[in-house]
Amino acid sequence: MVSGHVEALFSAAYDGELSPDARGAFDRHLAECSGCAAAFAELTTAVDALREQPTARMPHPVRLPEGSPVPERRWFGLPALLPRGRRLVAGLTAAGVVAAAGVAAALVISGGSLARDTTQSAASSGSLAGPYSGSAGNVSVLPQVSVPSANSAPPAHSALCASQTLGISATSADQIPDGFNNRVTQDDGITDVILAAPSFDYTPGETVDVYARIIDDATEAVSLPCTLLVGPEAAGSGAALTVPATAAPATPAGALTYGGQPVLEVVVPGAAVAGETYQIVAEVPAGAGQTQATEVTLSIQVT
Amino acid sequence: MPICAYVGEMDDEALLDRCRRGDRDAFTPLVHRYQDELYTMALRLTGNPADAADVVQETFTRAFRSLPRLRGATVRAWLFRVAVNCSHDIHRQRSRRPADPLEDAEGRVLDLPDPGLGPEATAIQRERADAVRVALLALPHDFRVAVVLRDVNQLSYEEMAEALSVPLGTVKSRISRARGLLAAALRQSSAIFPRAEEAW
Repeated sequence: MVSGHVEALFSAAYDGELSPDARGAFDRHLAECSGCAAAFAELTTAVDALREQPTARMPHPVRLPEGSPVPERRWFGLPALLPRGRRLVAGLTAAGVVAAAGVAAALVISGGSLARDTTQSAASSGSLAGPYSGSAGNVSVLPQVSVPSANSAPPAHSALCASQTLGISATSADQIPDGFNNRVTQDDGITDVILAAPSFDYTPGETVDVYARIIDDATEAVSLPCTLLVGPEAAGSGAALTVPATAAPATPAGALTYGGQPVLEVVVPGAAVAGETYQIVAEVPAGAGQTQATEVTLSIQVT
Repeated sequence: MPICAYVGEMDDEALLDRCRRGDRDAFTPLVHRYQDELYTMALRLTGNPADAADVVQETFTRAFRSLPRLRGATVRAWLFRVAVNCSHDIHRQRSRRPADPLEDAEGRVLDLPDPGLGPEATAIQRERADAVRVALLALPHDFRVAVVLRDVNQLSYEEMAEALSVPLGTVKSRISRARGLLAAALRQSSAIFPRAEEAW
């Protein structure tokens, strides 16, 4: 029988990471315990077998993009990059979310970066601020985005989009549960903004729980002023969709901790077709934990 | 000394500095330096040579666009981070294609053991490689990534923490768990544990 607390040392022992004292105690135990010795030998053999596998060679040359190595897209260009014919916007079913002091003010984000695509620039942010309520420290009801049929009339979305904020807080490691396969990181070398979902695969109408966290020594919270659900380019369901996803309101730094809670729910379009890919795109403006404006994109696949 | 040779000898940081100033030629040495490492990682993660090649292509395409913005992280760890994300994206967005993991689309053998080995030794090595490949693909993704970065690419704990955006403690626990799962997955493999077969 293998002792659990000894087994927990196997990996560190393999890597030579145990202190001399710990290693001595480890070796003495293995000398007396045939079960642990056999288990450690098994692990060593298995890892050695992996390590002995040779380096493979890239089978063909890497093709680099034209031009010079400069950032491909800036946030300010995002709306322009989305094909006009594919922009449809749904009504938002934003529900209540935490409101900390100053939230109402934080909800009114300047839409300047999106002004070029605004067809109704006078759209009020008040209609979006309304549903948010609650008490600091808890997420009462998650904001939710639902996507209507592809035949819905495209309302003026840019102003709506510019009024919504995905608040990501804190640096603790438990913001995203372990084991989430679908995870993407936007990294500028200083701050990582991470979006994650439990799975890549979702069925039409299913809700995607989106988790988020940031990693930065200095930043306790960021506000991402616009989150979009971008539909597939090959519009098998009749039309591709670009929908502003609502999100938690901005909060003062440190005022809100989501600890293991999703920050956003996105409903997969009912008309989506298996095989289609949707993207949840969040703007990360310069200064909001990142040195330059950028975006982070989480892909999901319809099954 | 030709300029290209000089650039090729620069360390990562010097190349990164030139990339930031828009020097396209400074990016090529980074490709040559890391493409095989990244390809090997992607091959172990996906088990599919075509997907692995696409991961490397996509990694460098993304890196080409955003590497100049990199600050405070090592190029190597950052490239692995991008490649891990690309592996997620590319492999899961595609249906699994039946393919001999040791051959590419043109049928060239990519991942053979030492060519100096005789036929019998080569056969044994292929059996071992296949057993390891199957065992790796059976691991949950996060654990597969952990054990590949550590034991295939030999990243340090710190590099892994940087590449995976997780704390050092999480790195160690994932490696530990992953190795345990790998050993369990290989336990019945006669190619890895010949005595298991002899016991019959």
